[in-house]
Amino acid sequence: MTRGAATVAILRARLHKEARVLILGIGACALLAYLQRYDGVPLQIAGSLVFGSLSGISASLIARGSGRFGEIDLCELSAPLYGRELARATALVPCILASAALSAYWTVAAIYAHVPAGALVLSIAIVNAATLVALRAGLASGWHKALWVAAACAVAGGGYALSKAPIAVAIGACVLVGFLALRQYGEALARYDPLDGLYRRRGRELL
Amino acid sequence: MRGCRSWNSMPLLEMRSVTYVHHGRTLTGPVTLALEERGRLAYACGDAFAACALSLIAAAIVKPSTGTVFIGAFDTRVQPVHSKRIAGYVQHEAGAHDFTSFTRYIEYRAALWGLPRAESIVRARALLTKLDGVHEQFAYPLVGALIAMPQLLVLDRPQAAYALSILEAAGGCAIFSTHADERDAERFAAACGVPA
Repeated sequence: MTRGAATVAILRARLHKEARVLILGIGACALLAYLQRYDGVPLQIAGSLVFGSLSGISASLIARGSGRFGEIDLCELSAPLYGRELARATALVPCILASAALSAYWTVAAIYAHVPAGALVLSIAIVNAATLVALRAGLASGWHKALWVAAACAVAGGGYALSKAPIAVAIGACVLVGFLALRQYGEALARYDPLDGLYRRRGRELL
Repeated sequence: MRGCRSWNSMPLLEMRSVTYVHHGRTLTGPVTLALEERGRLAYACGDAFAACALSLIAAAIVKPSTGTVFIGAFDTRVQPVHSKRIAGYVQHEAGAHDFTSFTRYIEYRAALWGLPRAESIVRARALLTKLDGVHEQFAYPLVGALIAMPQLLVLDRPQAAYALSILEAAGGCAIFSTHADERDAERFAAACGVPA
């Protein structure tokens, strides 16, 4: 059996648990696209980035360390998986959620006007980069967490500013940021102590 | 890997001066212990958090703040993945609430451990029949841990009432259990017929 089976299993388990968040993100983005149906492409890109990034960042924040996936988290951590395998599989979930929300946005937008393929691809690249940066926030606490969320928002904002640059440059920058963020997440996950989060949430007596 | 001792004389689980420190406070340990293959050990930790922390350290899920843990030939700090192939972990108040059915849960566990799906389901059902009378909230995770046929089973604060069922299901697997206090550890050990 290939180790890809572990990735698929993690994806299935987490997406099943996140079904409501997925539907909410898709619904919100579809509604926004309907409200923006007569706007120009730059405004549509901005709208899709705001809502897509919000979906991705929210999904990233609850992905690990929030206690929402307590049993699944512990099961994954007790499995003989390397940190990078676990990081990749876990990172895919918020990326899928954010991409699904964006796809809903552009599908509704395409009903009313022509959607440039470049705008679609660029928005997906920017939102995924922001989502990957936000993943690190889930493993941090206090002002570190706020800093990583701010960094994710800055990536989304910076990505929008890059939308005026040649598309290859903008997408290349997003891929680079996403790659570095994923590496950083993998390293943080290798150092991650589930007891720390448990202690902060529940305290010694309540355990 | 430890090369100084032969495999036959090597404990399956060995802790040397293990502590868990959180923000400068020592919450667990220092703990020094050794558990041989097919051995049983019920360890009293003092409180629930210490028991939880020690069980996670014994299953290579958490790294100790100080000291060293060996599972088989592997140092859990250096080779956690190899250590996790040997140890199976069952948490306190465990459950499989995130899965729609027992089969889905076993499929998930089998995929994480790289086990054949169909074979794992058959083995899991056979194990579940041995745990007749054990609440599914404990039975499911126990079966989930045992389908990978670990050499070491780590239990976080198991109930003494389930001791015999656990022994039957675990077979020849070594069992290390952590308990919040001496009384719980003695009750569990007595039910297993081993010293605490």
